[in-house]
Amino acid sequence: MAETDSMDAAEALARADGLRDAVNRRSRWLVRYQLAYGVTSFAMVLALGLFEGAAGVVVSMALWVPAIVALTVYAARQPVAHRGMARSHGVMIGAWGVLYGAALAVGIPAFPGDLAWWLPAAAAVSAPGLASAWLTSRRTAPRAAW
Amino acid sequence: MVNHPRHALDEVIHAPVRFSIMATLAAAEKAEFGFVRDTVEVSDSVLSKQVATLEKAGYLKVTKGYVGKRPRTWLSITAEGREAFTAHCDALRTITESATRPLTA
Repeated sequence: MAETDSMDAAEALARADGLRDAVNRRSRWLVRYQLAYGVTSFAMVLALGLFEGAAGVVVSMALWVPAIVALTVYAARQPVAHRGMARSHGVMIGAWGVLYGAALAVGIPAFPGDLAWWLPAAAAVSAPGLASAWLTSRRTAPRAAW
Repeated sequence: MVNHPRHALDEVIHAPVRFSIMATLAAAEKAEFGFVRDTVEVSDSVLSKQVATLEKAGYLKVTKGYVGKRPRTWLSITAEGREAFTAHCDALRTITESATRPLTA
């Protein structure tokens, strides 16, 4: 194996594993991002449903807009994102959009101020963020070979 | 004799620093220049030179932009680069496996 004198094959593969783990470790900011997204979604939908009329929109947006701005700035400042992040993030946002739309489309006309609707609706809308955080946590954990 | 797995090694990727850059980027959607520099443990100038070689080979893409007023350089692996890196790792794996395989009569 003369041509691999400078870097033994096994060492090279081990080095690749170590570098992948370093990328994954530094990509775990996304877990915090997704957790915050889920928790804020829960509070935002609950506020929207339980405060009737314009007050619901005002309180809900007062929670949501600053949180999204802060999360966007936080994400933009990160130096690395693990492989597959764009796809998983797209799935999370897509699922969130569908659930949020459904919660509001049904809840605003039919269940204004009704905790029995808005509590499970808020939990459902928070689920994509929380589930994504769990999946990202697993995805970025150290693992075996390529 | 072209059957030995070393013939499947990619000459561009085989250099240690370039291999480390490719391994880092293969695990990432994209990575900031400074992150790759610190992770691979090389200087700015060494990384710039090796990135230019990999970019010329079509294995990685360089994107420049700003975060606020700060200029940033992002590196990402191309589809061609990922394919080449996977093939290179397969060759390395075959080499290690053939070295540990017991000799038969």
